[in-house]
Amino acid sequence: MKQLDIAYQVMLTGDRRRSAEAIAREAGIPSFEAELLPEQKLDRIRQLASQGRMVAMVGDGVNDAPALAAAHVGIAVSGASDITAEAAGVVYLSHSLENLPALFEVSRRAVATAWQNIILFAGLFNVLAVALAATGVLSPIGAAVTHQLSSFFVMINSLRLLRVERGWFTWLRRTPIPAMWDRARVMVGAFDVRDVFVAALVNGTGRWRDYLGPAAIAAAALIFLSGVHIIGPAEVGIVERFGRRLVPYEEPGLHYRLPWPVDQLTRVQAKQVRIVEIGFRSGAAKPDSEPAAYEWNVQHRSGRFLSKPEESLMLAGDQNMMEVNAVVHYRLSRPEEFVLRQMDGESTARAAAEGALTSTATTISLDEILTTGRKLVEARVKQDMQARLDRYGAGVEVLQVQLLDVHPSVEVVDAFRDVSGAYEEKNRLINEAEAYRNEQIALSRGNAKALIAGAQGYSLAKKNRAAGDASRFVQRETGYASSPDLTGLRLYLETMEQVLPGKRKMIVDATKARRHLILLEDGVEIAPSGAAVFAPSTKGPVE
Amino acid sequence: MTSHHKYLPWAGAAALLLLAWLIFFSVRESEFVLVTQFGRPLYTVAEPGLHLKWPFQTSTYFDRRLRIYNPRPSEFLTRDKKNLVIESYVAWKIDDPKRFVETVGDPVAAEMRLHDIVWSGLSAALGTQDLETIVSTNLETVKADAVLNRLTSVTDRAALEQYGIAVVDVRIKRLNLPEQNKQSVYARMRAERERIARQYRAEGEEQALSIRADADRQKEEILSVAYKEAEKVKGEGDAEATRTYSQAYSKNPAFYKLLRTLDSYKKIFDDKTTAILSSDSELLKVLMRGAGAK
Repeated sequence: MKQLDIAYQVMLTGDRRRSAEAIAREAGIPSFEAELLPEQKLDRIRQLASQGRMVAMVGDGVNDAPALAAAHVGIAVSGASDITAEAAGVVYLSHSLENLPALFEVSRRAVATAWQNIILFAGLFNVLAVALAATGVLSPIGAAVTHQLSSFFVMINSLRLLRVERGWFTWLRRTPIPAMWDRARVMVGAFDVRDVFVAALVNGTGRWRDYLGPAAIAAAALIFLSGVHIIGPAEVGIVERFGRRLVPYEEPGLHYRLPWPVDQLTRVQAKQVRIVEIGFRSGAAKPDSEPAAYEWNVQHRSGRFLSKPEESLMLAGDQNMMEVNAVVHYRLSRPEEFVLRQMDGESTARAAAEGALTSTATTISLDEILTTGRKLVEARVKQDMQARLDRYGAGVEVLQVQLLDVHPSVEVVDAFRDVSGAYEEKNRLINEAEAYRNEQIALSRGNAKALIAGAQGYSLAKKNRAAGDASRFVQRETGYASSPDLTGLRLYLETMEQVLPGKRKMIVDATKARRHLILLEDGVEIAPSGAAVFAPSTKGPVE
Repeated sequence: MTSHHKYLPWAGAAALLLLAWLIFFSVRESEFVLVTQFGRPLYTVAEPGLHLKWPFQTSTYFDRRLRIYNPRPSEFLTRDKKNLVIESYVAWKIDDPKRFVETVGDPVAAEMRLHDIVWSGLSAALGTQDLETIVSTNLETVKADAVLNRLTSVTDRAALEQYGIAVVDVRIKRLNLPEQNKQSVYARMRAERERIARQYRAEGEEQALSIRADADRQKEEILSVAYKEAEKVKGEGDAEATRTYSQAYSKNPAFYKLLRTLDSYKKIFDDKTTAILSSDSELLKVLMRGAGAK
């Protein structure tokens, strides 16, 4: 105990002083205090603890429980009551106290090892690794390995504890626990090389071969079982046995292959429909930056699409520049060819697609591809691309070729728009002229009808008036014929009465007026002979 | 000593494994294996499966899969002196590993060699062709495929002979004009579109004018026909009226003359008229000479 650097030992007991003294002497404990009540034991422990010492209390009786709880380290001896064991920090299983120093030593080493592990491996080692990883010296894979290594080092370091006291383990080995433990390890543990390692350490060099057989069997089983694999729903698996490909390839499901180096498995995403995008790449930017509409001069330059102008700009057959965005869908009809005959099947498909598109575009006019020729171009590209890929043995089936956005180069879009503007203008002019024609013709028809109706009215009026006049004349003539002179005079005078009132009148003597000039106020000169100009005939109206 | 014997079977097994490792080699479908002896190429194995060699021989693996090489786009001149920027692709693979390893060594160097061969081949091929035979809407004159097929076979022969490389295809991937020429193409396209636009506008004017003229003609026609009809109707009315009048008046022309003359007086005499009356007129006879005057 002295060697363990324990400064002060005291035996506390409720026994008689004499017997206590005898036991203390026998056990080699330098001091003792006897005839103590449990409370006094507790006080004594508290007193020692208050002196700044680390106090360990070893006890077995029920009355020791409070003291055990108060001590920094309470050690309950085997056979102690449950309450005591509960109060203690450690339960010491041996009946004899002779191994008590070993307990202290093991405990101290365990604590020391724990601190070593924490500071050295969990702390310093990892901090160093983090720093190295942050500066890029350590690759991600290296970092992962380093992390595992730190755990490994902790384990190795902790294993040193097992070598502390052979005697203690010898005792432990007498119990049935290690045997069961070992059997369990062999059954399960062959999966973990570390456990074999531990077993070797625990058992010493003489016994390790006992574990080699089971371990080898376990390892072989593991290697054999490693051939079981699952082919996912979109995949097929190609198995090569010493390089020779097995047919048919594996469809989705559970499969077995022989372990390396016999069989080699290649998984291919064969069922998936693959896409070649020409002139753009989708999924490039945030969807909220998408324009309101993909017009010719907006095109796939923004939004979800990343434009590839060097791909989309091409020469049409009529030597016009246009921009074509297309997408090709294809599937692997023979996945083994796609993987084993193509270095990079996807780039082969892309090259074939772009080549076929260029080859077709250079033989078709811009106007045609813009309007009626689209389907034709798509069909021709598909056919050409399929022919190329067959020639390359790519194992690819082209499903469809779609022209997405085809338009003249952005630089001339306004000119193209002007054409459709002009076309509209042409129609506008024609429509306006048509409107004019309709208006004029309708108006003319109306006028013509009015003219004819007017004429008809005139004609009818003329006829009716004539008829009326005639009828009146005939009737008046009948009256007149009965006495022509009288009626003639009456009519003459009636007319004069109507005509002459209100007019200036000049009466000239018919006999004297000859050869005289008559001057009227308004200066109009009238020949003198005209004195009778407006006069009715001297002979009267009736001859 | 006994402890050493114990390990002997283990050592034997390890040696056997090592020997197996040295004399067996597997060949995949996607590769060639060149067996060399102290650096000297001996033979090539192309058949997939497990093969044997001497332990002191080395097996070198060559990927025989098809590769796509994309040379940088470059500018070429056609026979009619038109510039074209062409981006081609070359589909190639290693065909003779022995020659390949002797002359080229690795794929990167191979692509450099291919670049040279394809460039010169393409220049030569395009130099004999007019632009019309490569870019044209007339399918009968387009010879691009034939030209490229010939180029492929020429390149293949040269590459196989010199470098052990099989050239499966040389094709044009992108075809374009140099930047400067693009501008003049744009100008031409603009002019072309302008021509069409003007044509549309002129056609519009033309049709509009003819429609308007036609409308005016129809208008005149309708009105003149109507006039003709109207005058005819009027004439008929006039004729009948005249007939009616003459029929009635012919009964007593003297009475008609009197009535009509008197009617005329009513119309002729207005406010400004000054009547100069002769004293011996019928009206004034009584005034001058008293009643009973004859």
